[in-house]
Amino acid sequence: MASKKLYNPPKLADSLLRVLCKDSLLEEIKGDLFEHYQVERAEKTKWKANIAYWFHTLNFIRPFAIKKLGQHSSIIIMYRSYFKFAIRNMWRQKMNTTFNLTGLILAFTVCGFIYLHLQQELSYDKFHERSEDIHRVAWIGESPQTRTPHPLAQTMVNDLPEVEAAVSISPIYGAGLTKQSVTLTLEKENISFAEPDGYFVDSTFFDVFSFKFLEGNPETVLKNPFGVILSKSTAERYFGDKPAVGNRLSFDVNTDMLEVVAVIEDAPLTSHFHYNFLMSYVTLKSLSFNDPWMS
Amino acid sequence: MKGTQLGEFEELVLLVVGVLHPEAYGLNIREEIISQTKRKVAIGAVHSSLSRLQEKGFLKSDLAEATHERGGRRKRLFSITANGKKAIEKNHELRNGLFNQIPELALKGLNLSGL
Repeated sequence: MASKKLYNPPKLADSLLRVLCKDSLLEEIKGDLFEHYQVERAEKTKWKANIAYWFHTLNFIRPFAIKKLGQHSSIIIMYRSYFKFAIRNMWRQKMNTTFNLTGLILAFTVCGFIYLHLQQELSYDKFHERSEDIHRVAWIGESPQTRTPHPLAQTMVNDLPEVEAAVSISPIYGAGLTKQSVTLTLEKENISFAEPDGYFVDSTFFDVFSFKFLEGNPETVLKNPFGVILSKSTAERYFGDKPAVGNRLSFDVNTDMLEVVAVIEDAPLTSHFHYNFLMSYVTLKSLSFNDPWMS
Repeated sequence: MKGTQLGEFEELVLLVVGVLHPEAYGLNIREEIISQTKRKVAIGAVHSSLSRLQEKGFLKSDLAEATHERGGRRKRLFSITANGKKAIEKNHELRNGLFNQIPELALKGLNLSGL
């Protein structure tokens, strides 16, 4: 210790200490750390001594040594005292405080729920790539409805330049235009389910909507009659983990009428329509539905 | 005034301040504790205890002359007050009293060499 040469401890640790430590304790603390560092440096390598210095410096971040916030700021002192008054008054008037706080908490909670609800409502159909450009054609008359004649869609594409693509979707109707479930059967496994939410869709379906393909070729799937696209969950019901494309399904009593041509993802929760299976629209023309538009 | 209870580590620091009198300051108190008890003690822990003991009135302190090996900074020398003396004496008596009350039977046959 007799040597005159003194080692300089890490500067960053020193300035950190100067910022955090109470002024009244700074001199003795720094002195002790400095003296300790000289001993460490004499015995150990530089970086070991530095690590020890940092360790002891950070160890001074304790309630007794760090500066009290706002030692020299009247603004902080003022607001601290306001805060204390507020707490003490609240404590004194417990009934009032309970009512006020309950109301406030309830209001904020409700606001939060409203926000979440709106966010979910507004997220509908946003997963389509060009969701802003997709519109639904409605017929506004004495009884407004979204049922339009089938030729309308392609006529709009042909005649109106601003319409890039259009698709018509037709649910499977039962008596009195009610939506009907259809029984699909996988004959060789004898698996049969009554499937709601089946649709006939134009071959342009995937030009408009961007549901993702898991199996099958998006270019050709809806061009041929008797092709059926299954949603992922529907495909799993019949085929489990095995590939579904190429298998045939019975449509009600029509044995092996449909050929599975693709599997697509399920429509997300925030889709305004959900499907179990989609059939090519040309299939409809091959069926003996009594529809004047088809003849 | 805070409680005048003496914590375990505080008592140790207080005793060491007495041992090192009149040259007791943060760093050599720490070294003395380490060499006597083989514990690992941070410099901050010693200072924290010293400031608490001073608040309780068991220690008093003065700034000494600046020295070269401290980079020209002064050190704070601690010494025990009358209250501090009373506190360690009380603790000492209490412990000795309790120790003497242990019946010999309780300690007989205990093999201490294994500790």
